[in-house]
Amino acid sequence: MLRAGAYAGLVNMIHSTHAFERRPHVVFLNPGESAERGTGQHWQLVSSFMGMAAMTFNMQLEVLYAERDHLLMQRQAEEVARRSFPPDYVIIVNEKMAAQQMLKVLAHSPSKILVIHNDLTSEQRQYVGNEREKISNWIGTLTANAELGGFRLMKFLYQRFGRREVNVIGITGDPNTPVSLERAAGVATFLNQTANGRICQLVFSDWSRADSHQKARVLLARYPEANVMWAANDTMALGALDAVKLNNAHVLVGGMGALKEALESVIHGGLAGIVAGDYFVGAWAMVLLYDYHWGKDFAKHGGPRLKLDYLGIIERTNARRFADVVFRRIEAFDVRPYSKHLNQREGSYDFNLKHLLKTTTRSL
Amino acid sequence: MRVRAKFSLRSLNLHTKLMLSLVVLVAAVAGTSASMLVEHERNSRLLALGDRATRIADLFSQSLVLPLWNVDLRAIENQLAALAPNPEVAEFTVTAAGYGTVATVKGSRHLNDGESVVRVRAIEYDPPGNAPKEKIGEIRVVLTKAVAQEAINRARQAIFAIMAALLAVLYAASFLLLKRMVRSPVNRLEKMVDKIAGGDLDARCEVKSDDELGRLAARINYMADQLRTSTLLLQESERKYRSIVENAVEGIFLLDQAGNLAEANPAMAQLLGYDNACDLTVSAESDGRPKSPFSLSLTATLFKTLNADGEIRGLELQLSRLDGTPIWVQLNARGLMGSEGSLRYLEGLLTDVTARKHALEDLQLQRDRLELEVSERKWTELELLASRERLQQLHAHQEAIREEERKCIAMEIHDELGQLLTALKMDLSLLSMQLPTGSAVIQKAEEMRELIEQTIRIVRNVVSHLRPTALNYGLASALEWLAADFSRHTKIPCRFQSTHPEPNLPDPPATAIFRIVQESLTNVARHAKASQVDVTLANTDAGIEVIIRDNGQGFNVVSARAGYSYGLHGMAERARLIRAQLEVHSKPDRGTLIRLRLLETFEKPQSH
Repeated sequence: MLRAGAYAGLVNMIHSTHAFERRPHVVFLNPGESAERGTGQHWQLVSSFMGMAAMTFNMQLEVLYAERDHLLMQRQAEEVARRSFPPDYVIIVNEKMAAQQMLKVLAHSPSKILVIHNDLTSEQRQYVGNEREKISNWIGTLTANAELGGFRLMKFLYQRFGRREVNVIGITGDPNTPVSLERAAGVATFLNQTANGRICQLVFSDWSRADSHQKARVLLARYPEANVMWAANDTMALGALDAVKLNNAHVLVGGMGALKEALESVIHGGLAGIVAGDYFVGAWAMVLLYDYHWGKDFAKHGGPRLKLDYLGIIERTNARRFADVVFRRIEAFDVRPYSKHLNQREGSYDFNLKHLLKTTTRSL
Repeated sequence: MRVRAKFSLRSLNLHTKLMLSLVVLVAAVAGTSASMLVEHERNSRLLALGDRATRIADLFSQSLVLPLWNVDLRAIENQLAALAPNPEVAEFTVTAAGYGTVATVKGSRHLNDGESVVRVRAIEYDPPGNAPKEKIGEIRVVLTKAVAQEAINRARQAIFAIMAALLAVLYAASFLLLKRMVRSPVNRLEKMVDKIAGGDLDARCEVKSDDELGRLAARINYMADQLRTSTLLLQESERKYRSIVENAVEGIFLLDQAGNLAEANPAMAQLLGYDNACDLTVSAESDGRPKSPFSLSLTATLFKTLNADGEIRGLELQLSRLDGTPIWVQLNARGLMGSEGSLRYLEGLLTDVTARKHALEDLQLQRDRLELEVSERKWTELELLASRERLQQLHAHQEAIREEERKCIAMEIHDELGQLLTALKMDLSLLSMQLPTGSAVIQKAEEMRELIEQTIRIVRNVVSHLRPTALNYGLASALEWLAADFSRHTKIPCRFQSTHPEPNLPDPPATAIFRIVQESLTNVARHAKASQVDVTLANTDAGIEVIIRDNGQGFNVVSARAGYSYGLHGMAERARLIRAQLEVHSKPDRGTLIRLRLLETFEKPQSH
């Protein structure tokens, strides 16, 4: 939280330093909590890396937390749309399927809209259309390839288990959030390709550690034969790990999202592995908006709907290094190499973490 | 105590008793009904509680499948919490298979032992496809009976309160109704009966209803009417019978066992020579002197008779009048029983029969005289009968003599005169043969011969009438001749029929029968105007029977006998002489039948 405050102060400082310049104004309607209350630091980290990117690109970032309340998020979108001086860009998340309504609200705003993290479902798109169609100021969508993340996580856990028979318990997020389904679909895709892999059960959770813990305990009792468990975020993975420890079960646990505690758990041999990179989505969005603002439309590099593969496995061997990059030396986080405005590079955007790790390693 | 309670219960009036009975009855019914209602309420509420528990458990077992499958504890708790505010809920517990309790919700009530209804249902997940159901946990629903018990208690209180209120209202209404419908009419009836008992026969009770009391009042009114009528009739009857008693010719009295007259009518006093009846009873009761006409011994005898026979009927006594004159009286009496059932009084009717007694004595004298005369008359009658018998014998004898004389005359005429006439006829014939033919003398001779012939016929007729010759050849021949003679003289066909062997009768009865038949045919010729006559002679074992039947105009037998029909009397007399039974049957226009039945068998004397 202190760190978030520091970033906010940094943003303000940049704003005051370049007050005379025309800086693009970006509003991020963050669906998460402004302070950690059990659902993890994911959205706070997203804002932090966005702030770093904004500072890097000399952009004005305004973050509005919805505190996991999609109705509040809706009201925040309405408020932004009614502003006399609307921002140049509004970044929204399709958390709990709220993006459809927000797009409608913001459609009459001069602000450009970018949807990140959770894409609109096909049903939603039937109503609102696609980017730059009915809602012309909806300029693009940026999501991670969550299915690929799930696929990679399960592949990692399977390999880690020695390619023996795996009985998998999955704990994904709420069913209304597409990314939770996509992650589960990736897991299922891998297990379907594997002869000795079986899903015992997939349950939906509210992304919280406590709920995941409770579910994991019950599911472990229900499926004594289970030997692999995954969760759709690292908070839930930690909850599941607690349950495994409590039951003294020999179950490998993997998660998605690399929060600090999860990384430490990986380092200390708790979680077997985690899929990292989700909380950089905000920073990648700032890269796209920077390029767009300065004439490099990202649509020309993969279209307005970008589903990018930037998620990677963090395991015990690389966890410590990743933690250092993300949590200890965030100021060294440099997104400039990913900008096509700053780097004349053709082709689609490549937000692979290895560039980041290389960059940060160099800066170190 | 029991005696006092019985006494106090008996001393209660009808209204109070009815109210008491009603209260007891209604209290019993209401109490029983209330208890049954409470019990029913209790059972139904507990059943409903059990049903609710079952429904909740079933509902949860269905609704918790997906939350439990997904281990969605919040949803499970939300579902449990949704029903938790129900005051009946004691506890909802969801357990996961192999894990234990995953969610539990407790109600606000403290649960005591035995006050709960528990339902446990399995929560089974039905996986897609053909996989069997998988039990993933259980829902345990515990509902407390306390709420139902409180409701039952409230219901009990309400029911008892309602019953008490109903009882009170019913009591008040019944009290007023009974007071109006029973007590008031009964009071009116009591007053009316008291008035009637007090002699007010005009008192009537107002009939205000058609119920039993109303009908009772109407009947009491009717009874009062009848009582009034009866009293008037009784008074009238008393007046009438008192008048009868007072004006009766016979003495009517009431005699006790001491010989004293308790009651007596004026006729009694007059009969016994007293001025009035009071003197007779007062003197007997107060003076103590033996003035009673009934002596002690007579009284004792009379009561003894009464005790033995129950009544005294027509007993004639000789009593003494006040002046000592003896009188004869006839006593009819019966006993009057006292309340203790013993004979107390003799109720008697005394008739003065002194005059009758004297008359009877005179009558007895007259009767004795009459009896003497009757005996004399009887003797005279016997003499008369004997004389008559002799007369009849004389008549029979005379008849026999007359018949004998007829017979003799007839024989004399037949034998002597006939022969002479026959000789004269023969002589005339011889003389005529000697006379010249065609002379006047011949003519004269012829005329003489005809005269002789005529004389001979006359002689024959005379002889036949005196005694038919045919009778000498038997009854049948005589009757056959008689029939033929009748037919010849009267031109009326007379048919004779003898169906049996000819009877062998002596001459007197044969002659008598012949004469009776002859008289009958004479009557037919004279009076009957018949066209056919049948004479039948029958000789059977039962006797000889002769029937003369004609189809003439008939006659009244009774009037003929009452008149001077000497022919019928003669026939009867002849029949009596031969001890025969003569029947004459005739009616006007129906012909006549005369039947002569000879019962006695006569043996004809053998002719020598």
